[in-house]
Amino acid sequence: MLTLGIESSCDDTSLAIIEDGVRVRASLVSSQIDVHRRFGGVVPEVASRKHLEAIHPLLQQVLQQADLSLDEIGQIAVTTGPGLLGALLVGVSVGKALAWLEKKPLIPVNHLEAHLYAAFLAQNRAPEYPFLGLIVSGGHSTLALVEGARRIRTLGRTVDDAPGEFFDKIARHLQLGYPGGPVVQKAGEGGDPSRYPLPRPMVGRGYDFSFSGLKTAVLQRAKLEGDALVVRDLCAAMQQAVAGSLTEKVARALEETRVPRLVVAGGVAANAVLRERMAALATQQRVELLIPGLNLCTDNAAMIGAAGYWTAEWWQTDTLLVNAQADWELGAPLSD
Amino acid sequence: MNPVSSYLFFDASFPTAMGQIGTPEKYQSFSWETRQDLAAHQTRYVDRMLSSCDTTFEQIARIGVGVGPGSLTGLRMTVGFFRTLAMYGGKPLLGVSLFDWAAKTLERQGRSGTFRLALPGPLKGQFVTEVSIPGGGPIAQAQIRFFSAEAFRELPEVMVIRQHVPNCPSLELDPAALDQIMRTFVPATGEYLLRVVPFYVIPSQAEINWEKRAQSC
Repeated sequence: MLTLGIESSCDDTSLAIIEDGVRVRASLVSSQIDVHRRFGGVVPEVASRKHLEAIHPLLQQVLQQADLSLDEIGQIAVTTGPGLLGALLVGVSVGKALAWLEKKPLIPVNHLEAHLYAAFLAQNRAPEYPFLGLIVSGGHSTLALVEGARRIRTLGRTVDDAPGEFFDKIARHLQLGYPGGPVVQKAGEGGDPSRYPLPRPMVGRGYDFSFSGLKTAVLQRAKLEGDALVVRDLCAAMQQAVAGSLTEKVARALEETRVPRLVVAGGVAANAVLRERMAALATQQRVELLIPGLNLCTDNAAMIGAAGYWTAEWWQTDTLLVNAQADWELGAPLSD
Repeated sequence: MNPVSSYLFFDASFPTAMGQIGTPEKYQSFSWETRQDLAAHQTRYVDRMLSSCDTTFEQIARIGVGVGPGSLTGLRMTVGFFRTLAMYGGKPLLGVSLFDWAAKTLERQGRSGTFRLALPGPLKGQFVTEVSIPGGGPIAQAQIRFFSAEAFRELPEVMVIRQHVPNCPSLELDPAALDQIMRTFVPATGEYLLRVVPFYVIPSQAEINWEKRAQSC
């Protein structure tokens, strides 16, 4: 079964074709990073406009790359939320038109859930439940217990900034560039994190995350140091702080749930410090760790196609009537 | 003699979306209060238009889609949807501006001369253009300007479309004029389908702010 995945929830337009949920036949991403760089963040109106420009040429290319025609596609999976509403609606409209025209099933996909499936897709294997999932990106940080397809219990989420958003804001303040995650990692290479002790936000308290206080602490430290600030050490310190906070929550959740595997996904899962800390934790707790490669950490349609394949049977209603939902929570049903 | 036997048209530049279907014998118009539900009901609207004329999509010779100016989200959704149908259904696609429709309406009324036309825009502002009747040709994005509510009040002799403004004559868009456009205007085909895009007359606030900062530097 070939699944066409369509992703347009934020600033990447992406299309992919996935075979039997485990093999990427073709995958293309049109990134808008260069467009949004001058604004220091994603501008929703501009993002929607760029999606409409990119989506049809990309659709043609992905079919060419896979050497397939549209009628060979068995089903269409499209990101329906969460995300920027105007951006989501472009992908949903195109997905619906294709499904209606070709009389093929349309599968609404939760973007966050799809990030979790990316970890299994990266190893060309079917998802195995249960597992603990940590999704960390520019817009989200969520810790969830996944017991089956669409059977997800959210344990905690960010109460303010997501980690990627935190990195973006600090990078903008320090004039390091955009997006924040990769530039902070590069700037912190070889740095001494102990030079700037930073708080570990909300450690020991529930499973929710908070990075706003850490942001304030970093900005205050930068102001205090003035010209004497060693950016490399500060960048190293704040990555340790973020990774430390996330690792502490995951460690407690693993102990409580006793699940055999841990999935870490989302754009911030590309961070080398976080990957190291999670690897150490998995070894210590004797659980299997799945983190997708860098190309599947950031937003992509391959994960949408895979998630669509593994969740298709869950949808019993006429999905041609679904709407995009900007605040679609992980594990929740889509609103009518 | 109609050169095009059948067509399907849809416009969502306003919360009240408009549709029209033409067959060799007739045309039929539709309107829907879409509110936030346009994405949910797009396929249903098309099904309803086709079934009302006992027609199938395969029998449709060309597709028309409203390109604005108007609600950018509505325009992007419909252009995305109908461009997909055109590309993969093998149909030509015609981007229709409501100003073109208005110009054709005036032409059918036997009017001539230059007319200033206005469509409602964001923040009570107005999209304004001038058309010459007859033979002015299709309106391009560059010919449309945005006026704030205050600036618009200073404009003389404006004819308003899809709204009521005190002291301004209003123009009702004529479905027969749209029928004529759909049957006679040259649509896009092949790679030119990608050129059917919504009118982006005004930039986003972030772009305006960035432009201001760039100028001040």
